[in-house]
Amino acid sequence: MKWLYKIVLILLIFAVVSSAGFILYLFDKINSAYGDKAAYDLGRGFKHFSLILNSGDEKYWQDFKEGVIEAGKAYNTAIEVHLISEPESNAKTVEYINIANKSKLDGIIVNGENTPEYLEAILEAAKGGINIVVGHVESVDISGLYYVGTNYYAYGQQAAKLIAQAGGNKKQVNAAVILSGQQSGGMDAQSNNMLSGLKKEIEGGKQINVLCTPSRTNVLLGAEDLTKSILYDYPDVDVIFCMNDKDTMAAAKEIVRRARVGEVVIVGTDYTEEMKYYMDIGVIYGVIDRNGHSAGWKSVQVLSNAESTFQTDCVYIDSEIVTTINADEQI
Amino acid sequence: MRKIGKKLFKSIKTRVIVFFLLTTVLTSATSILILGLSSNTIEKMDDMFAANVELEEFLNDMRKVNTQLTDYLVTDDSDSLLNYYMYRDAFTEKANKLFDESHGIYNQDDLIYKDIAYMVKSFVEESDKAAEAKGKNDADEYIARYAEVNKITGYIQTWTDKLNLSILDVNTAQYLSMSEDLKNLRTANLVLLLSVIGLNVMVISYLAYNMTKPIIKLAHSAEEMSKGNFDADDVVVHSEDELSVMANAFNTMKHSIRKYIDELHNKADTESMLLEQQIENLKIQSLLADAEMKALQMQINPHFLFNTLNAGVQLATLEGAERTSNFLHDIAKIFRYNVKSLNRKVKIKDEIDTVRAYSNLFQVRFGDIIRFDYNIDCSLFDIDVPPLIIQPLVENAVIHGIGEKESGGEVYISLERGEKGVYISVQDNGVGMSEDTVQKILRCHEFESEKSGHTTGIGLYNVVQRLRLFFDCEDVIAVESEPGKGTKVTLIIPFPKDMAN
Repeated sequence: MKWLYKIVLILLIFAVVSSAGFILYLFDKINSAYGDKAAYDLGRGFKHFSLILNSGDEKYWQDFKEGVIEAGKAYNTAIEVHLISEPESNAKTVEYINIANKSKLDGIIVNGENTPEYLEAILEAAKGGINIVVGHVESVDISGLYYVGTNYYAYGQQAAKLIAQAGGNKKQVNAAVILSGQQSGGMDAQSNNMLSGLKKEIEGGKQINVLCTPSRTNVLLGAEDLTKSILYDYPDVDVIFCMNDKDTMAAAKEIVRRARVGEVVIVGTDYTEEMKYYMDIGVIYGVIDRNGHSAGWKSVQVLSNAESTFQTDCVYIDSEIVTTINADEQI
Repeated sequence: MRKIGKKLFKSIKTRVIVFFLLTTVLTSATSILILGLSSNTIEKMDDMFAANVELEEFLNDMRKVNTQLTDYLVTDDSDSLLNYYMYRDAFTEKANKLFDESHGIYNQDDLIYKDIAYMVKSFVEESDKAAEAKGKNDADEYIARYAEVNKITGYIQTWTDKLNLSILDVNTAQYLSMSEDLKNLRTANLVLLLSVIGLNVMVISYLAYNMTKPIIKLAHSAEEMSKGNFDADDVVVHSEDELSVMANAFNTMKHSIRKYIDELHNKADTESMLLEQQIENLKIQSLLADAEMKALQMQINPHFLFNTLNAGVQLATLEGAERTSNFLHDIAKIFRYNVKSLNRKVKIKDEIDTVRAYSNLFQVRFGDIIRFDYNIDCSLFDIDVPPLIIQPLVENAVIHGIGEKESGGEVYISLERGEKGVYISVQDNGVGMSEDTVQKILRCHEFESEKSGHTTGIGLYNVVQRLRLFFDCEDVIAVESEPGKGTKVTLIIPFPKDMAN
């Protein structure tokens, strides 16, 4: 019986010690969970920027946000992040700009739709002495208002080259262009600039026949529907060009679903890992990556240096072509 | 240190106190730990919603300021203006406390707080400007300022809602994260509590077992002692406490008592032996007294009887009755011999002579019905023997052996040397006896001492006992008998020292 007594005693002591240790561990975990807020020491005299992002679910803006946050840490800058979802996004964007203005922030990074209210709010903020980086307006002539992002004219030119390559040996490539269509009233500035660049290339000798340039006019209308219409309305289409990652993937899936693999190829925008498969099976020929991360980083850099060394109001971020040749490197 | 510990634990009192303190401290520490952690967790849970409550109060204060401003702008009432300033100051003070920038560490919520703080400043500035414009009756100005105030109020409301949602999100996430941990915490608390209870039970059981085990041993040993068993094993206690001292004392006491009892036993044995000796002596004296008493009973005025018998002898001689004279002479001889003390020794010759006289009397009484034959070794006549040892045998042979037989019989008396000594045999061819009867006769003197007018009254048992006492020897008689054939009783007289070889 003595050995049984000893075993039970040892087990009980072990149970007491381990349960007490476990309780302390849990308590510490609960305590740390309670105080677990993303805090970082920004020191004194830091700059305070607000990032107001519409279309936040697009890959470009996701990368953009990451770039902003990382740059914020690097430049000892506090960044408020406000992601706005689709319904009433314009009104929200405008309100947030006004709040940033009233909150006397040092800078705003925003990608709202170019509505009059939006432009007025930006103008008001700029007048209030706030430096602003916009993601959608390339041509600005207000002091303290900067554009950091893609040169959509050059982007159009790149697209034309890629479309021509995607057409292979065809003398004339029939292409359809799905515009990003941010502006409900019509074609937005970047689409316009992109088409200008594209046409310039065609004029320069590229044998591309742009069959159509549809855009999403409703949030419920996806690229699948647009692709379906293109395939139906233009059965001889060779290449479909999309201006963001969501449209690229939707179009690629639709081509597979419609059994048009090998007949129609996609030239997409903003490379994601998911696209690799469609590249491998020949649905996506190539992708123009707009490098959202760099754009975000550069935005913070621009605002941080706005009062001192920064000289220009437009900062273009180079896009990168991704094809099957260099897709693995991107991942 | 170890020595001190060992010394401390030698005392039961110290051991009990230490174990009691150990269990108490263990239980208390567990309870305090669980209570402290639970209280802390509950406080934290309470704190989770404190910020939301604070923000709600802040919004209410702002609405009050706005209401008072509106009242003033609408009514131009100085009381409303005073109220406005009062609420504005209180609101500003609270807002300043709410948004503390001093720590310099920010997260998203802190930045929103900071925005609100700036918006509050704008709110107050615009409100004051509206109030001032109202004072100056500048309607356009105060309407524009009031619109701005409402706009800012809306922004603050939006930001406060956002903050509330953010806090709620964080709190919800924290609660979800914590709830699983809280469940585990509850289980761990239960395990800890049960383990501590178990541990306490084990410690107390150990203490109780170790303390009571020697006591139980002592109790069992004491019980054995009370039953008279002093040979039980010593109580062994391995500890070095008071119980050990008690056990040693108990063992010593047990040994002392056993020794004392042994001494008492030895003394009692010695006394018993002495008593037996005394009883033997008393028995001898009793037998002698018994024989003498019986002899005395027959001494009815012996002088008168002897004189009378002598007179009878002389008369018979004078009348020429020689047989009568011999008969009376034999009677007188026997009486004379019998009335002498039994506490003396006689020669075998005397015994044989008395038996001859005795047999003569029977010859006269019964004639030829009883015949007596003798085979006597005269060289053995001088051996000393107790008196009246042969006559009772002859008497038994005549009365119980032949007397029961109508046809009469023979009595054969012999004196001769035997292997073990001198054999004096009295043999008859009477009715004989069974072996059981023989043994009873030898064992029980009552059986033999039946009173009869025909006997001397001295039984075989008396004869045997006197022979044993006289010669200090047990083997003094041999009885051979067979029913219907007769009985032979042999007295074995040890050889005297001078005849031993």
